[in-house]
Formats: sequence, C-alpha cells, structure tokens
Amino acid sequence: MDFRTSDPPVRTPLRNTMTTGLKIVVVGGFGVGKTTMVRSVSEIRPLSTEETMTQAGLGIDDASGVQTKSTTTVAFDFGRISLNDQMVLYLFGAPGQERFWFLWDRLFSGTLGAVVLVDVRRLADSWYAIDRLEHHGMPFIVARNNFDEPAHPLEKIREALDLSDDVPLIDCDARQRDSSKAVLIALVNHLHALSSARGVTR
Amino acid sequence: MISRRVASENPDRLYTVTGGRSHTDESSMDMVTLIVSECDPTPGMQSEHVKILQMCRQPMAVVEVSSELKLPISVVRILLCDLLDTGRITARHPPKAPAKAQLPNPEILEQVLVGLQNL
Amino acid sequence: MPAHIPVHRRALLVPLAVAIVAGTACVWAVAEAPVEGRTLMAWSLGTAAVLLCAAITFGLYGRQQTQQLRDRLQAMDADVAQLADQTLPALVKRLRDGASVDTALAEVHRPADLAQQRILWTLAQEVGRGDRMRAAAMSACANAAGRVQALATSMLADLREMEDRHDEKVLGDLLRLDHSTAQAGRLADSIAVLTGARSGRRWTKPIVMESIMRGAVGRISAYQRVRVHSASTVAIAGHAAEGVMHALAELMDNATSFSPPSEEVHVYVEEVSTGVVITIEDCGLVMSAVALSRARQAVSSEPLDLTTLSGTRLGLAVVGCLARKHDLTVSFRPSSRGGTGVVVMIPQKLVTQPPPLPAPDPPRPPSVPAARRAPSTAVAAPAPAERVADGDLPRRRRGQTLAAATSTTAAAEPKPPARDRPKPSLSDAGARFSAFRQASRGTGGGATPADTPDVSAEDDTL
Repeated sequence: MDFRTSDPPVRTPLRNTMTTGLKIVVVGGFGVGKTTMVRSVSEIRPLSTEETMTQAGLGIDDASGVQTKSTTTVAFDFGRISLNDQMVLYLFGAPGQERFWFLWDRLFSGTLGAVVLVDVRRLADSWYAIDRLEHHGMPFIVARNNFDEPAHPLEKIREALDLSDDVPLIDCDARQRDSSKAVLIALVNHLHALSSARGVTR
Repeated sequence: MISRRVASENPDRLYTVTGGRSHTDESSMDMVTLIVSECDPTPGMQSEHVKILQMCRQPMAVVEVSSELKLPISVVRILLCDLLDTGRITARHPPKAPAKAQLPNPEILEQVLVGLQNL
Repeated sequence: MPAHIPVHRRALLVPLAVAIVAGTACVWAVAEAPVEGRTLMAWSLGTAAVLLCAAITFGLYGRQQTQQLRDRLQAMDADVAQLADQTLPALVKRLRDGASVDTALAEVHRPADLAQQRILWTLAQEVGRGDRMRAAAMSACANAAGRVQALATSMLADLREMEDRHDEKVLGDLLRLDHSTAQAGRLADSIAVLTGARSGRRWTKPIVMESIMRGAVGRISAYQRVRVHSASTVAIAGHAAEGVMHALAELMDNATSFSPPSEEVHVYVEEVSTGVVITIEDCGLVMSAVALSRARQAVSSEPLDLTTLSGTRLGLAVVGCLARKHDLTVSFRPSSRGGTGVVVMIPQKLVTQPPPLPAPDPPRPPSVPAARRAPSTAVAAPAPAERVADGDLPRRRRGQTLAAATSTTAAAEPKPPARDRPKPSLSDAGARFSAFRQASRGTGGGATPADTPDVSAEDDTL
C-alpha cells in the first residue's frame, strides 16, 4: 500500500536497543529558564505537549509583558538524553505555579526526582513548587539560574527559601550545557545518597 | 491564542478518533513507556495508527508520540492500546518504583550517573 | 354621418334638420288649407312638428349615449385586463426582486383610472410589507444562526483545549459535551443554509477524506453506529469541505434515524475518475414511492421552495441547498442491505491532494558524541535585574503557598467523601516516602505530612 503521506517526520530516532525510559522534571516559574536548560542538554529540539489555560492566567506572561490575552498556551516541553544503549532519560520542563496543578500528577508519577530552577528576581514563583514537592515527598534539588553575576550568597537564598539543610542548592547557567549537566548530576547524586540511605534505615 | 488553534485545527473531534472511548484499562502505560512497532501499517487503518506504526519503527516514548500526533496523552493511550491488543506494537515499560517508596534503586541511578557524566 | 363631427354636434344637427323639414311642411300645409281652419291647423301641425323634433332628438341622443357608454366600458375592460395581466404581475415581480414600493410603482405602467391606481398602490404596499416581513424573519433567523455557529465554533475550540489538559477522569465528560456542541452547531448550520446565510466555518486548507468523514460522523447523534470503509487518501478543497461534511452528516443522520438502533450504517468511499463517490447504506425500511419522489425533488437542481419545508425534517432540504451550491449529485436507490442507499458524487473539481506534511527536522544521529556538539544557542538574557538589596529577598514560609492555593481550589470544588474516591498512588507513595525521609534524617526538621496543612485534594488519604 502506498501511503501518500510519506513517513512522518521522526526526530532523531532512538536506538532500537532502548528498553527503559526515565524522567526528571525541571520546575520553575515563567521565564526562569526551564526550556533553556532542557534545550541545552537535550539531544532533540525540545518538543512540547501543549497545555492551554483559559482565563485564570492573569499576569501569566509576565516575562513577555503580554497580559491582555484571556487564553495562554503553556508549553510543557520535554527533551531527551540517551544515557546508554538501554536507557533514555526524558527531561520535562514544567511550569511551577499553582495554576498548573493539573500537570503535576501526570508528570510526577514515576519521576526520579525534580530540579527547582529559581530566578532570584522572582523567587516567590518557586514557592508553590517547593511546597508541593516537600508535601509529596518528591526528592528535589534547587538550582539558581544566573544570567549575571549573582548578587546574593547561596546561603541567603537557602534562608529565603527556608530549605532544609539536606536539600542541595547550587548555582547554574541554564544556557551552558556543562552547567545544566552538572545540575542533573547533582540531582542524581542526591537521589543516590537518599536511595542508599534507605537501604541503611530499612 | 484561540485563533491560532482554530487555524491549525482539523474537523476531527476526539470522540471520532477514539470511537467514543475516553479511557482505557491499560494503566501501566507511562509517559515514558517506549513503544515499538511490530508490523507495517495496512490499508484502511485509521491515520493515527498508521502514523504510530511508522514513527515507532524505532522506540519512541508515549509522550513523544503524543507530541507528534498533537493529541492528548489519554487519547494516545487509547490508540496505543488498540495496537497493543492486536499485537501490532510492543511496550517497554519504565522500571516500577519499589513498593515501599518512590526512590529508584541505586543501580539504576548509578547507570544514569555514568550516562550523564559521559555526555 | 361624417366621422369628424363630434357626437354632441350630430345630436344637434339631426333635430335641426327635422325641425326645418317639419316647419317647412307645416307652413306649406297651412298655406294650402282653407282659411277658416288655418289657425287650428297651424297650431296642430306646429305642435306635432315640435313633438316630432323632440322625439327624434331624444331618440338620437339616447342612442349616442348608449354607444358612448359601451365604448367607455370596452376601454375600461382593456385597462383592467392590462392591470391584471401585466401591471400587477410586473409590480409583484419588481417587489419580489427587492425593489422598494415607490421604485416598483414608478417602473410599472400607471393606469389612467384613479380607482385602479388606488388598487395598484394598496397592493404594492401589502406585497411590499409581506416581503419585508419575510426578509426580516429570514434575516433574524440567519443572524441568530450565525451567532450560534460562532458560539459553537468557539466552544468546540475551548473544549478541545480542555481535552488536552485533563486526563481520563474528565475526558469522558468533555467528549460528551463536545459531541452535543457539534450537533448544536450542525443545527445552526442547517438554519444558516436554509436562510441563505453564509455557511459555518471555512477551512483554509484541503481536508483529507478521513477527516471529512469524521467531521460528518461527529455531528450526528448516533455516530457510533456509522462504519466508514475508506482507503481514500484524497482531500476536499477547503472552501467546499464544510458543505460536504454538513451534507454527508444530514444524510448519515437520516440513515441512522430511519434504521433500527441495533443496525449499523455503512459508508463507502470510492475514488472514481470523475470525483469521489460516497455511498451511505442503511438497512431500515425501503422508502415509499412518495417519499422517494419527495426526496429526489428536495435534492434536485430546483431552487429551494420554502413553502415545501416541513417543520421537523429539514435534512434533505439542507442537502439540496448544499448540493446545488457545491455541484454535488445526490441520488437514492434501494440498498443491497435492505434499506435505502444514498449515493453522493463529489465532483473532481472539489477533489485535491492533501496538504503536505510539515517539513521534517533534519534528523540528527543519536550517536553523535555529546561533547562535540556545539553548545546550544544562548537565549537572550532577560531584562536587567532590578537589584534587590541584600536583605530584601522575599521569604517563603513552608507549606503556606500550597495551603493558600489548595484552600481556594477546595472552596471552589466540593469534594466527595474521601473513602469514595480512588486512592491516588502518587501522594500515597509520596507520603510513605516523606515518612521515610523524616526517619532517614532522624530529625523532624523538614516538611512532613504532619506539619504540612492537610489541605490538598489528595491529602484525604494520608
């Protein structure tokens, strides 16, 4: 049979040997650099599953200064990293505010852990995400995204965010691949430490 | 934003894509479950099934299929289950989190770590 | 009698001649008579002559009057005939064509007779008013239909967006609303078609056959009973796609309505050299000869006669309008399945190839060593930071944002009792994990379910 529609565009196919899909979620407010971070480490151009908010989105587009629309499309985007021949890691960039709660259950089930990306100028945008992660007991680390020279020592941020001491807090530049990579490694190290500790406490 | 959507919209309502179904019993299909085709499309198949079989010649995660088809994940799950039930695709599920807690086991994490470090 | 002498002069001439002759005869007779009887004779003859003259005058006058009346009557007859046969039909036609009463009156022949003029005027006013009423009613219907169409279109778009963002729990309900909205939209489309308003939405690209079929099936109530058999890959030109879908929907709706609810309706799509043939077959009753001829009339090339509309069944009239608009041919025949088969021929000029798929991204081999890949392009740095003084960082208070958010949500949505709801596995597992973390830390310093306000929907299970 001749399908006149030739094969749909398949982006960077995965190796056939892949067996295991894993996921990590990057949460943060608008314009904080989630997509940038996903893009900097992803082997595919970040794809998006469009989620659209009607109303209730006042001030949603703070970053772009467009506030008049009553409907805003939120791209919950994701990228992909082939870790080895069997394992592929999906990175999801998810808006962290309360009004996107509908994304959470779907995203967080089965997730390894989360990175909370914060922008010091809009620190409050991360509060809901951190509350929720703490509440669900989802392991996470916090990364401060710096476009410029940071103005505050990290300890001030920890204080302001009221983070417990065992939650790693690091600096990063989401535009830099190595920096984003370091954030992911920090998260996995954290998870590994927790996971090993579980073995001990059990 | 509506106008952009309307412009890109098709006349296919979702209930006509799923034949009126809105859920599936297959709950194990995660967003990152990898889908692999086991056969080629046949004539008369609905276009979404054709596209899935073509896209998944190499493994592809459910969320990627959803994004490519521009269909909600719930709808994609129904379509995938049709194909799964007839043996046209296979699904490679992510490791189940240990029952006691949500933490993945250290071996997996170690492999992830190595993979990331090799990036 | 010379024709150029006017009637009233003739009426005078004859009595005058009679008077002269009679007078002369009288004078002569009196002169011949014996002298002693002359006076009496003169009086007698004079009187007789006068009487004769008078009688003749009156006789003649009467005859002429009769003639005159007859002539006038004939002229009036001709006038009335012209009024009835030419003037009035012309007037009504002009009015029906949309001319104003004054224009129409000015354009038709104006009768000389005042009464006829009044008849013409009154009729023009009444016909004009009737037409204005019809036009006003039609335009009100068309306008209302257009607004319902617009509402339905935007509701369908909204619903589609909601379907994107809600999972299985809500999806079923949304799909049901979606289906009802699509049917309401079709009804509005039908009224728009019958009132001559513009049809629903215009598609800016060709629509592939599969979508045409789904678009049609999705607008009818019993869509789950329709089985489409198609391997067609052609598309229908955007400008006609809506009309084609609407016409097919009406025919499929008929087929499902006139066949037993347990039976399926089968739709076959076939590409032929002259276009695309779509056959809709049901296994209901075979149409009666009367019904068949009525159906054929409805979908024929005759323009729609609104007076033939029945209140309840508009479908075929709609199909007729759409068929005429898009040059579709619709025919009926007994179905091999036992009911009625409707064959719709979509002409080749409406058939096109599907729009090309968006160009694929150039594939990138997955095995490229990561380190050698160019660093991704940096995004533009956001607007310069407003320098926050060192101590000015806003402070989070644990759990407060979540509590505030969920309390508003909880207030807005009444929740069923906890035990009636399925256990969300995530929060459940999360809760256990929290407990674990607390244990593993050995201190209660972190956020735990115990010191997090029990507010969110999922928390009932904790």
